[in-house]
Amino acid sequence: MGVTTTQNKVVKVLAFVFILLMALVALFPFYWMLVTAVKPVGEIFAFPPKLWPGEFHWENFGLALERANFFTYFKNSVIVTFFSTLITVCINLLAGFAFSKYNFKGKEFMFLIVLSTLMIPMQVIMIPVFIIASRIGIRNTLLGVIIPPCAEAFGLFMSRQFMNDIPNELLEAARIDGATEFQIFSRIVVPNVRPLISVLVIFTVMWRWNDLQWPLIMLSSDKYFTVQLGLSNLNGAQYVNWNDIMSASLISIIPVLIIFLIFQRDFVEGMAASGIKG
Amino acid sequence: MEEKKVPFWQNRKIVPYLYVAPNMILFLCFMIIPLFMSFYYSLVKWNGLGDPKFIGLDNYIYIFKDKVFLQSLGNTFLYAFATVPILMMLAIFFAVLLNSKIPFRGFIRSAIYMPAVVSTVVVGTVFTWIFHDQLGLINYILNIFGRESIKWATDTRFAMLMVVLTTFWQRTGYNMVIYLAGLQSISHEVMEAATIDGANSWQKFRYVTMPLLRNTHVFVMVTALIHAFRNFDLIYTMTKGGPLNATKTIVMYVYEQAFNKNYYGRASAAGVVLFVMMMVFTIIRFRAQKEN
Repeated sequence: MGVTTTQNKVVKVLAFVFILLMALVALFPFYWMLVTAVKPVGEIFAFPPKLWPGEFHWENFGLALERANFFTYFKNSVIVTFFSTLITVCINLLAGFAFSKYNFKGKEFMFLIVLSTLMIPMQVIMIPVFIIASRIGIRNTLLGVIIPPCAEAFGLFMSRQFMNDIPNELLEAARIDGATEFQIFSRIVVPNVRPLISVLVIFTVMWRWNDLQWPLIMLSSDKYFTVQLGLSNLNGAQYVNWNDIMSASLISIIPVLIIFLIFQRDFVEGMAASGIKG
Repeated sequence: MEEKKVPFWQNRKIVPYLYVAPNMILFLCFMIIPLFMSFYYSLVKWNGLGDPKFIGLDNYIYIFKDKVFLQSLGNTFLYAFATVPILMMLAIFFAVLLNSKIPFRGFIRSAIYMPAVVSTVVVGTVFTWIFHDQLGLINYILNIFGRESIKWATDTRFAMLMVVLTTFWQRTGYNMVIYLAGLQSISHEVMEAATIDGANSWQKFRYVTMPLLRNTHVFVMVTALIHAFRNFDLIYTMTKGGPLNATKTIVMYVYEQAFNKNYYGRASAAGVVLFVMMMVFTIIRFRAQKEN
């Protein structure tokens, strides 16, 4: 018995040391981004690489933004993310409410159709969407990046599930009190689904801010590029300025890191609840 | 009778249609119709200009004879099978450790999850730098251990390995969180009963935890598989499918055929092949969920 307990203890300590090491491995690339961003150019080309920079050039951040047109990219990304999130939350709350609390013809059929698109990868539909966007004149505009991906089943699916938990008596009571149908939605339903809204916001912001492929196929003019598209172009360039690209990368992750740190709990719970989005 | 005449926005037969309309219209325009268009495009020869010409199954015949497509198909499976099992093992290992009371638990959990929050483009960029053939850290470490530097991004033998290793870094935390949720749903009574019966930690893990996580295993596996099959951003950022198609996957092939070469028909046919594979995964997942 005594032997096994000591053995157990040793195993536990080893496991702890190992996982602490893994946490450092997970964090290291962030540190490396920072170090590369502020190193003097000469040290970038030093091999072996210097793990601790000789001088800190914090002004690299500002220079990177100016040199690579990143102010424009950031502005575009903010616009795209903001409006995508707004649209996603609005249309999914409304539709989720209708699918959950009303009876209407074709309800089951419509929901089934939407649900069955959950697993369709965007690469399967991107060519037709690209063509449709060209026809209706939203290709190579921010609107073209914002609108098409709003057709997405996950948000609706989550919303309906969540709305099912609202007691019908609550809605009936409001009706008896003379609330209009829209007031029931705006005054009873919306305030009762705060957690749902935060999950939708977190996921949409993360997805849209981080997305590369929709902007990549929709946009051809530099002035509409999003941050990810700009970064990806810099990384693919013949001559890569590692100071610039690491500075810009680091700045680009600040918004999502802030959201992550604020909503950590919702994040993890929402993640576990959904998983679907991959 | 006056009272029965309500405006349409108060009519409970009409209101739900107004509520679902924006969503359904978007779905119709940017999901349902495009899906059918994709099936149609896969049967035509078209470069985006002029009229599409119907050619039956020729696109499918072409791609299944195309060495690059077959290689992409192989690479997709290679990438999936190289990443998914190891990701699952890492995830479950970390989840079990982080589910017990250890110091700095919150910090470690956040640290391991953090890569999943960052955009794939940034991940790809940082790891392009870390795997840089002349200036990269990885080669520096190899040199310390007396190994030659590896041309990660330009050597066909190593490019896929580079992408796979990067995927481990990026995706372990995400899968770990799903496992943590699964672990937390296992009741304490079951664990206590096993302890009273004299099971040691390993036995508890092997004979209690693992079987009870069966649902979670299937869920994580299918989610990770789907992610692997869809993954475009990482490969596009790191290698663009190169060198010599060594990291080209189906999604890269579809993108390239459509947007670099303007073969919309071939690209759509490859897209339909991808669609069929995803449907198979979906059916497996729903079957597995139904059984429980």
